Amino acid sequence: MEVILLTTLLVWAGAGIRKLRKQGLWKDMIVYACLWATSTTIITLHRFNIPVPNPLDGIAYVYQPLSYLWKQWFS
Amino acid sequence: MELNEKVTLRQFNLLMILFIIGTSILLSPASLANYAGNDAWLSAILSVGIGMIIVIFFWMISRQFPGSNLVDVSEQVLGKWIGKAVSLMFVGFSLLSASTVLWVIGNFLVTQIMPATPMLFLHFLLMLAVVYGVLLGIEVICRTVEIFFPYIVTLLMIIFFFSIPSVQIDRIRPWLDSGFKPVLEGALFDVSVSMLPLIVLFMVYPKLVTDKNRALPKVLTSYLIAGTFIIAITFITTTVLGVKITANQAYPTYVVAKSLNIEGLIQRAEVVIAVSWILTIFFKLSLYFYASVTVLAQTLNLKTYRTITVPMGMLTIALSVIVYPSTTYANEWNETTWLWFALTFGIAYPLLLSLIAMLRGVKGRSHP
Repeated sequence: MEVILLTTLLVWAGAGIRKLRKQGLWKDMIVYACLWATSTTIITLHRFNIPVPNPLDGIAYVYQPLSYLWKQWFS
Repeated sequence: MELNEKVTLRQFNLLMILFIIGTSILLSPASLANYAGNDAWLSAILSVGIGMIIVIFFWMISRQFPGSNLVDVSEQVLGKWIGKAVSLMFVGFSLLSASTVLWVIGNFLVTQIMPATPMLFLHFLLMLAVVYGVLLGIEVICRTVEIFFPYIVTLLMIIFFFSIPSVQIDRIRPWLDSGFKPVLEGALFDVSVSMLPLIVLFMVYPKLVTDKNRALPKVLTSYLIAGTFIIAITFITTTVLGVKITANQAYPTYVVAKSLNIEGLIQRAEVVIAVSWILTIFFKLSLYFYASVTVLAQTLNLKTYRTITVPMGMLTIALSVIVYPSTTYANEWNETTWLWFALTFGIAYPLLLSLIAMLRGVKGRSHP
């Protein structure tokens, strides 16, 4: 099932890239390809239970001092 | 990239109401009861009061930069490259918010209605509708809001009115027994969930809205309508279920609808809540997603945002499966980090833009 889904997504992405290349929209094509590559990579890694870094962990790390302050203030 | 779509102020106001009550209608009572206990309803009233100040603040920013959206303002005020960098960070904010909202609706469906369905499949189905809506444009989304708004309000009113016989005021007494601090804490958290994300509406207002005459009173009225819904549902859930049960439930409004029984005639009305919630969430998700796609396309000077809509939808789905590994993680992240994350983009970002613009003498340019 996963293989069928992934193939469909890749074919769809390939068709989109071809269309944008024909129109000469190179920047759009690069952004389009990068977004497809990122999303399919994340989904594939997730399906194979390979850990993917969670962006929310990074955000939580950045705001950690403020979170402690908040906890202290309202404790 | 040109955004040639036009939205009327009425459509914008309806969109704003549904955006505010989007996730709050089902989730706010639990968090407010958890923070403020018996005073959850007071906390909701306070959050609406704070929210009104934020609405006025947003209106002042929009008056300072008429005819510009958030990306235009960032580049005008901060310069081309810093403006673009900040806009890309805003893409991260709206994209992650969209992913978390998608996870919330997927989690609700899997835990309450369709336990045997894979969450990823539900995310695909929901995003399909959202991506299609965004591909058609904000005009179409706003017209859809106009069509669905009466249905959503009617469905919610049904729950409100039929819950009134079960209301017991004693369940929320005594008032203010723990002081004012928990009330303030709950109110601030509620503001961060329902009010601060409204910053994404800067991709629609003022640039795309046609008639801006007497906008502030109309927008404030819309905000009050949305706030009244949140106050009402918080009051009803805490007085019907009690504070402890409300705080321990993930979706207390859904439980209230489940427990409805009017003389054996009207029972099991929870699907009514589920339908109205899915509709409001659809609009909230669409707006987050629209903001992330248009900000990215405008920042990178793409020809149209429509080319990247489908892969951005895929990225939202991909992020939605990894952002919250569990409900416990989601609750903890929301309690400790979400407020600051939302404050950064909802208050600090527009405030800094406004102050820097005043210091540098930058005035908003009108865009065609």
